Amino acid sequence: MLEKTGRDAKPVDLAKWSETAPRYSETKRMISVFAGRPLPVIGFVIIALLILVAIFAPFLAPYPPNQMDIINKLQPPNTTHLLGTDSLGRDTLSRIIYGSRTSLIIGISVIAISSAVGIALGLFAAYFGGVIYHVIMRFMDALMAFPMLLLALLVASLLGAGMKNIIIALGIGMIAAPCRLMCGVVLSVKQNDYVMSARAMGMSNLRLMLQEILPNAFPPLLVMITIGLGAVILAEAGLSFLGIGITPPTATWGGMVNDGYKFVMTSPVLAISPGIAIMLVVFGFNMLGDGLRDALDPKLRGVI
Amino acid sequence: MPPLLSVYNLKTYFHTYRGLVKAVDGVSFDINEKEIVGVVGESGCGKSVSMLSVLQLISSPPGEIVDGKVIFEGQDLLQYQPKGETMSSIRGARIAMIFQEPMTSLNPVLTIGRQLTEGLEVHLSMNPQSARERVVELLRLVGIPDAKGRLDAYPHQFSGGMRQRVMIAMALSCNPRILIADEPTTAVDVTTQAQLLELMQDMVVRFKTSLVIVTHNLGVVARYAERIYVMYSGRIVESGLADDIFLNPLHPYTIGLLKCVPQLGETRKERKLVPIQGLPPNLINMPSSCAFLPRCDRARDICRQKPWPSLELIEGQHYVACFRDGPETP
Amino acid sequence: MTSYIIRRILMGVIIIFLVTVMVFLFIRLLPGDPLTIYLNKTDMQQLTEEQLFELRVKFGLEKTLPAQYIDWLGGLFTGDFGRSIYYDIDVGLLVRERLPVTLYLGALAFIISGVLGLSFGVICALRRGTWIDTLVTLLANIGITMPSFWVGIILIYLLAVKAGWLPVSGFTSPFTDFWKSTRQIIMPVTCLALFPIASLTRLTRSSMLEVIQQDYIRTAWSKGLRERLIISRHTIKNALIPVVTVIGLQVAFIFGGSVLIETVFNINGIGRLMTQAVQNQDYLIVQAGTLIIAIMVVLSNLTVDISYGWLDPRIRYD
Repeated sequence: MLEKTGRDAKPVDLAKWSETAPRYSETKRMISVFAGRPLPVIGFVIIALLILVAIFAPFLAPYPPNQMDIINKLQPPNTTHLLGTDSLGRDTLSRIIYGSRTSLIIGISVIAISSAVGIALGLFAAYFGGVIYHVIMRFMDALMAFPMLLLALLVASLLGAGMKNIIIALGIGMIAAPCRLMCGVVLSVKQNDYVMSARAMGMSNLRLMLQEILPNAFPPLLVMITIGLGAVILAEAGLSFLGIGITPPTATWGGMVNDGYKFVMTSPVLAISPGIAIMLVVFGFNMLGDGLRDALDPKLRGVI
Repeated sequence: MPPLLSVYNLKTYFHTYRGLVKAVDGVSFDINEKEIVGVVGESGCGKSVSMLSVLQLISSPPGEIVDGKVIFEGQDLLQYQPKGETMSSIRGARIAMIFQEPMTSLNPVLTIGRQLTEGLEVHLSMNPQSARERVVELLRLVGIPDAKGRLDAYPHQFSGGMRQRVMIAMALSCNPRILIADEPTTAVDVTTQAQLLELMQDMVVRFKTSLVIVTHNLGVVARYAERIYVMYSGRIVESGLADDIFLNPLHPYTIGLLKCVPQLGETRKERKLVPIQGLPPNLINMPSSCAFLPRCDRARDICRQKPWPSLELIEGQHYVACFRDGPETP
Repeated sequence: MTSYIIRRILMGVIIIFLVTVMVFLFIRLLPGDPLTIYLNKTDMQQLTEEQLFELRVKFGLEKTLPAQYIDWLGGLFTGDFGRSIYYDIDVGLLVRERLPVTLYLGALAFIISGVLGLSFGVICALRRGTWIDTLVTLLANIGITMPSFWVGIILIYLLAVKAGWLPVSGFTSPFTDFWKSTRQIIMPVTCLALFPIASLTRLTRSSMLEVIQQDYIRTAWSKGLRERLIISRHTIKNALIPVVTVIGLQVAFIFGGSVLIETVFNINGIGRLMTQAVQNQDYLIVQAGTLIIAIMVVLSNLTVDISYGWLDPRIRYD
């Protein structure tokens, strides 16, 4: 292809050059972007700790979460009860530690269900296009009009409170975002010239598109899931605070804030400490999500 | 008579997470009055950055003008704050610029009229009415049909070539001494390219302005430029009158560039278009030897042993930075 | 522009229609018969099959789903949301009584969050990297993580209980006692506005930073405009375009938050009404409340879309 010219033409020693101009791998770049700033790292550490605490709750908690001790109720923080006890004499720290399990279970189930349904609907809408696309997308628009908490209230008013119902309610509210995202990715992949030409040559449409869709959809989905986990945990806390979330006596952070609210004059730590746990975890997911977004695809800033 | 603009030993570096990029590393050039100058080089060679540095339009961070002088009308522009009063009074009014991307260089949410009149209002203290009248006249000059009716149109309602005409009108609106056109024709089709270049030439003659055409295409400057600077990897490797460069190119890079330009009157058999092999160098951790060395087809031992040579006067205004063994014509 | 507005309005009508369909299907398709809930609550469990069927006919539940939907929709148009099981009064009446309170608080929170969120975002972007940017961005990052109900409790504890500056809870109409009303709503409105302020600050900041890097901003600099003019004329309008699109989401979020905040501060708005209705299994109230709020979100989105056309000429002239 390249024609050698000149008398003393010789092959270019590109190998030598690459020593002076080092190439950086994409993974390395991502890690350096992610780890180069403090907030994503803090987010990562918080979430790693959350997962560890949830897994090892029985070993970490000084008391069983529902062990009542009426004599020692409403104790202020002290050496035996680091964060004091609630109105039934239960150890606040132990309940916060066990509450991490509730938050994580709900967060993960809701995101898993809503992502699965949302992705499927999005693929479906984009793949078939036409009327199906419009019907699905307009339904998603309508779904976005419902505040998530109100959808949950509606479900709870029919089915009552409880873990399963909360997961259904919050899951429905979270479908629209992954659906739109997936649909967008597929539509843009569909428009690529090479997909079209491959199609004209009779190649399998679906397989080709899947090969192309996955790498394009993965980064934004990962970011969306991370930030979505924070949002779900926040919403679940709100529902449990209203008393229509997880039924007592299961330890939930939102429920604990509600319990503590009644005693805010005498033992403010009861309401404040679980709230700080919620904040930390949501902060962790948000910062982790922001960091992932900037590392994976800076173009997504402002989009997700 | 001293040159209108004299850039001396300009160095603009970018601090990136991969390391220091010496985008412009000791560049000097002059622009005389009413002169058309071409600055030629591959993308990434620092030609745009040099021009942006003249007007201190480098975004900082990551960019930084670390050294050099930009003498314009007797004063060093680099002593002024990039966002300060003096620089603002020079930009647009004394030295104007046209950019590469006509699609993104105009503000999408403001009308063409608004974007054209604001320079006049700021620099020449025109009132809105007379500014509009002047703008209509300018748009007519650059060949926009129905100029008056299009003042209230938005950039997306114009084609790429038309937008670039608007840019030319905008740049010339305050009658600047120097017009810097940074790859003005790269993003438009070939017919439009020729029209725009003709237009620019007409305009600078009419407005008695100096014109700097920055381009990667020697063919573009061949017809218009009186003097040419060839840049490679952040430095000027050869400069001279257009005739020096085209008839007696000395640097292997310039020779390579010329081989990439198709010429009229040549048959296929006479000559082939020859691409320069390899890729432009990564500007990080550059070796001290000549940056063109890995791609050079006439590299010698001395090239590997000694640092990059500085520009050396050959004759008249013809300078070259190469350990050449005398002129060669392939 | 006109065709754009007409298209958006048509779209809005379709979405409102789908909203009603969804609310209707929710109630009918989820396990749990509306009638059984009604019966359980009113202690009429010992009914024969015939009596049950008669009740079904009375409530129109024996018809097909589409027919039921049309009945229900027809009722909505005449303002008939059904009768509350718990309060035994017209649901429409209850909603009309409670909605203005929520709207008043929500509108205040919306305006405050818009003004503050946009200003903070612009200031941060212009002072990028300074202590003010670092501080405000950190606060915004914390602001989007704080549960609003929890902030409410802390505010009550600090400002009302400890300091005694503000009343603990309650709501008075600003028309009856403006001063008392204002003192009462300071904390709830703060809680409602907190998340929108923080998220708008974040979004405006990143949008501004994005726009500042655009080619046309460099063009503006190259023309010799001063920074103030470049920011006010060239940057802000462009930076607002992506921000405006999420304002509809903020409306939904403020309505969702009012459910929590009205409970914390004992405010008899529609949010508290709905929460209590859930506890009383009074689903008709929840249904009406959800429907009305969703429609309001759609309408505010519609307004936003139309103003979007004003911001972005590329849409206006399409």
